[in-house]
Amino acid sequence: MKKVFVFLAGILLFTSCEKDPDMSELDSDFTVYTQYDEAANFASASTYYLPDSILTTGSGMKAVYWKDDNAQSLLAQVASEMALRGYVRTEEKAEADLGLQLTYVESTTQVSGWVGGSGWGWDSWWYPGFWGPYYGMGWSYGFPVSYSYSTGSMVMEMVDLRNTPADTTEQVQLPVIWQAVSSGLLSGNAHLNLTLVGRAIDQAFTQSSYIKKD
Amino acid sequence: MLALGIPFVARAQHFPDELNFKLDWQVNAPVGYDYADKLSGWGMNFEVAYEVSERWSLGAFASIHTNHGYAGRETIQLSPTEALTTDQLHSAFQVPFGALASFDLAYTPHLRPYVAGKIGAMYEQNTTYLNTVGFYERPWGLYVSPEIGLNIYPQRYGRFGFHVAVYYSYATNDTRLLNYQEDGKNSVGFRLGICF
Repeated sequence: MKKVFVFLAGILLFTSCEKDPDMSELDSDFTVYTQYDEAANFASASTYYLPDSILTTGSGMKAVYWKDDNAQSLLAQVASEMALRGYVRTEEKAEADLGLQLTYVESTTQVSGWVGGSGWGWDSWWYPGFWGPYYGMGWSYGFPVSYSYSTGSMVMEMVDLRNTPADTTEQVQLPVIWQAVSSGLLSGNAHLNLTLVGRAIDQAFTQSSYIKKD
Repeated sequence: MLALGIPFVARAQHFPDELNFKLDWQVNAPVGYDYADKLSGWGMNFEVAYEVSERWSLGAFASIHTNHGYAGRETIQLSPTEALTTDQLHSAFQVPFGALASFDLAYTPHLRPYVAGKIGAMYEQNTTYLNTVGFYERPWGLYVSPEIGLNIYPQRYGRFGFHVAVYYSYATNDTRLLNYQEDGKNSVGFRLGICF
């Protein structure tokens, strides 16, 4: 029996000996993931609306609007990227072909199982009705999504505002045609974190060359 | 390694002379592909064999090894509509085990060179780490490995000695993680240890 025990202990020792890698070898830049709806026509759009704030998600999934100088610098960067691609920013949502919404996740947040629905997720922050009275049917993603956001994630979503119903009482889904998720570990230095988020925004547009006006 | 070795060393005097053990530290380098391809010494090997004739031994083996690798930041096209920009840390943990046959090339008071062949299965856990998440696969495959080595006995015809060996191995494990694909795994390495 003792021999069997020693043998099993040896087997356990064998199977528990994986050497973990040194995670500090990874650079500090955010991971940037983008996807888009292949049916979307980015080239035919000419105007877009960008709110003057970034939504942040703190504890309890409660929406907080981030509007200080740091937020404005990130929004200005997004506006600059859109201008480089030929789009004109409008002051009125009703005049915009596209809409852009930015959400900064401050803590681990997981949202799943609400694709195309009108669940509890983004609805309580960037609620579809923000973009017009027609979008009472929730969100409509042209691609599969699942959400698991960790500390330090910036989410950019582009919505198509062109196919609004003539009847303003009609309720339709708001189509999300582009999504960029950037995530990484945050440092204790706010300036460095802002730099990392800014670089992630730049990378999101760099790898989305299809966002371009004719 | 020490914790595993002591019980066997302590009991070795009760085993028949035909039964031999090897316990080694191992250095392994994957060859022919670029996933977790850095040479490392994070491994060990254990063998037990029985002398079925003057020169032939049959037995069993098991070993473990971890190799790592780093891939710099790049943009990966995951699908026609999806792109991911990231750097990656790779970790490949392999556990081959199975049967062995060994043939002594010579039998001298202090040296016993041999050639051996091993065949069995290999469990592998390949993990790709990004900055906040990790992806892994755990494939199984067939494992074969030729080996040439030398047992060195400080005492004439002694039971306790030192062991050195070099080996090549091939396993059929397949893995696909992000933009890296492994269709079979080739490795070379050497072992330093004790035999008793």
